[in-house]
Amino acid sequence: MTMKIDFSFSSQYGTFSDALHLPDDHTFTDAEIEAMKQQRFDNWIAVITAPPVEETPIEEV
Amino acid sequence: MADRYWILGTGTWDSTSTANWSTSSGGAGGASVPTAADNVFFNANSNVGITAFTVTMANSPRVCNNFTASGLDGVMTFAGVGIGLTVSGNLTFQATNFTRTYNGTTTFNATTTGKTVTTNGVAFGADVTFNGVGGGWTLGSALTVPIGNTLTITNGTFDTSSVGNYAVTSSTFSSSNSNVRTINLNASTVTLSSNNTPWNMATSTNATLNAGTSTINLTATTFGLTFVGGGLTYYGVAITAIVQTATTQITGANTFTNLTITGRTTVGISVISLSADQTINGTLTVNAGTASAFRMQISSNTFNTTRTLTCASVSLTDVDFRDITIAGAASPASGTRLGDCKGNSGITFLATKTVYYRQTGSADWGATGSGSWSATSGGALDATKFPLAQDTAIFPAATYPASGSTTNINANYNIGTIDMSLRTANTMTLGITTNSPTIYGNWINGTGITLSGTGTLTFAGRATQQITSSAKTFTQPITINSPSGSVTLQDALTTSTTVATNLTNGTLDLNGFTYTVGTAFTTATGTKNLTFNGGTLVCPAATTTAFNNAQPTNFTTTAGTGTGTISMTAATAKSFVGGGSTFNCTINQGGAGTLTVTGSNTFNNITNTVQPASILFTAATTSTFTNFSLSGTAGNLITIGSVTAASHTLSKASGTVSADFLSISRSTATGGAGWYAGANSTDGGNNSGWIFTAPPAPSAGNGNFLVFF
Repeated sequence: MTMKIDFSFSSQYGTFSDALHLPDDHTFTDAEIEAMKQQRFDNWIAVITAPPVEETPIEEV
Repeated sequence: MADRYWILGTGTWDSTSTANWSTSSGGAGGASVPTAADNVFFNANSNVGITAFTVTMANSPRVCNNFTASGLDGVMTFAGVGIGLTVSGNLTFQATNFTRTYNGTTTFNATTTGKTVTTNGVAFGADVTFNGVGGGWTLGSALTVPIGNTLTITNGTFDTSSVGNYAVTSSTFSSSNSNVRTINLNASTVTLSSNNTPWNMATSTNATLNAGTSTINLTATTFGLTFVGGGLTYYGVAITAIVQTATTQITGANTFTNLTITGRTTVGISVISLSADQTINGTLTVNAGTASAFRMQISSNTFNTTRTLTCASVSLTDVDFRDITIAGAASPASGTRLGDCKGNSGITFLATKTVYYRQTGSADWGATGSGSWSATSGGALDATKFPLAQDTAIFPAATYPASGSTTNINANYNIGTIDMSLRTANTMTLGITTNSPTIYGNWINGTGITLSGTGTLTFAGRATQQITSSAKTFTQPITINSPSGSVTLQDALTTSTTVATNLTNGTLDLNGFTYTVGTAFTTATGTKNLTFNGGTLVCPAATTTAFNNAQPTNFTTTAGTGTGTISMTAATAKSFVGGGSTFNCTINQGGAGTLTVTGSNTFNNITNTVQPASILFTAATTSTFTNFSLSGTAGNLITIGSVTAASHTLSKASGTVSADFLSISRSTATGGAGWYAGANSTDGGNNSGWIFTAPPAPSAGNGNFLVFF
């Protein structure tokens, strides 16, 4: 079975809420879990701050 | 419904291969390829030992009911180039030992509720679509759709989880259709990076948006984005990173709890365009930049059509408004350095102020730091004195700037009066490069001024405005777009030969002066008037649109005092596109090139100041004149004809046309006047109504004599 660990980070870009779904018998240390949370948040920051993909503008709908 | 377990590590998940499928975890292979009704499992028994393995999808899309990657003890790479996955049940990716590289669309098509989507930090590789009639999906973790891709809700209920409030990240969120669907955003943060249409609910029919206390962040930084709200109710929407010059648009009559627009962080002006009224039950915030030259503009998408912002409260700094009414508890709204670009109500603007340019050398109109302006002539630079649309900006006679300097209007700023009249001995260039500022007050050149740039100058004061040229050529196209307003020349005005003048709304009053346009004088859609007061509009271009009444509806002309003239002066062929309007002025053939007159127009008079020359009317049109004063000279005839091989009509209601030295063909003269072409004129054929003699000499007392006898 799995366990769910909800977590959130607040940032200038808003609140990032996510969950870690891990096996009940996982062997991750608290530090590793925290690192996984941080990695999720870092990945999110990387996505939302990535250089924009230039799309062709469209006329107003 | 059956279960299918992946076995034997690396393999291909296609439509035929059964080698890697088993009916039990770690069991024998040979089970049938999973169908949309079957659950698929990837677990510790899917690989050989704990070795890494790759499952490559082929024959797009692969289908399953539940997709579960859990318990993996070796790294599983889930691959497939351009191959999608359609999941009819739940989806669970494992947080560790799982890598997704397939880059096709992932579709969720369940038709029952209670499904979960748990990506566990694994981003999808392409578009993600939820499309199942009656389906319902709740996120089990944050959902990330990669840059450049779209999260689409077509049918069913998409829920970000009221417990987890999981973040949703995508380029675009789209749910524009008429299907029954529900979007529950709870307290989630939705971050959308598209610079095009990051949120698109254009067709919101049968859509239920439960915004909860969510925040939708629109983070595009390049092109102007469009938030297509669909008239729905949102909690927080934040446009967080405006640095672009393109217009950001909000469409749909939406309701927000909070609408937050982050101010610029560079000099310039960014426009937020509203295509419908908006209601903000919380706070409308337009954040300040760090300098008053970092400006935002909120305006209607339709010039001179008001949009209403009903706001409970506002927080506004360095914002220009045009065609905006602020209603609700926040009205009248006030803020810091709010610019009045006309058409507004419910907003308290700063009183008009006069500011003085204070840069000593070549510099920009809008600058960071202390800016370019001072409260007093020669006083200290003051960052708060950036001239607003209701203000007067004065250039001192000397020093500020030094003679020979260039001041550059470095953005599409909204500007009140520009007074450069003191610049005489100390020269200065006022440039706009390709920027297009809008002018709400007067424009006053000094004799020491040089103008440069090719952006458009738009006069939009909606009141009385004046232009003093001081014999300085405007290099910019000029547009008059001032509903119920007027722009009055204070001296002759000349534009460069390469630019046009456009009359859209309001009155252009020549005020007795000569306005020499460049490539064309053109009318556009709007209520516009050309008043002469004895002035002359000179159209020197040798083009088919030298004078182009392209939008004659609601175009009028006013003679005013004296005789006004439109003079077509090109030495080669040119056209007067009249549009069927009434011209309370004289049209003058002022150049040797053939003048073509199109449309059935009415003129006070027609003259020529050169001969020989030709004037051609469009066949089957009727041109009506109060006076008709064309005449050539011996050996220099004025030719009157049609553009094509058919007749035109010239009409004059009464009196006598007394012309001479004309060459006339395909011309029907009518209306009641006597049309005497003169004894020296030539009948080129296909004419009627013309009398090719001089008019009879008037005999004094004739009338009384006849009556008496």
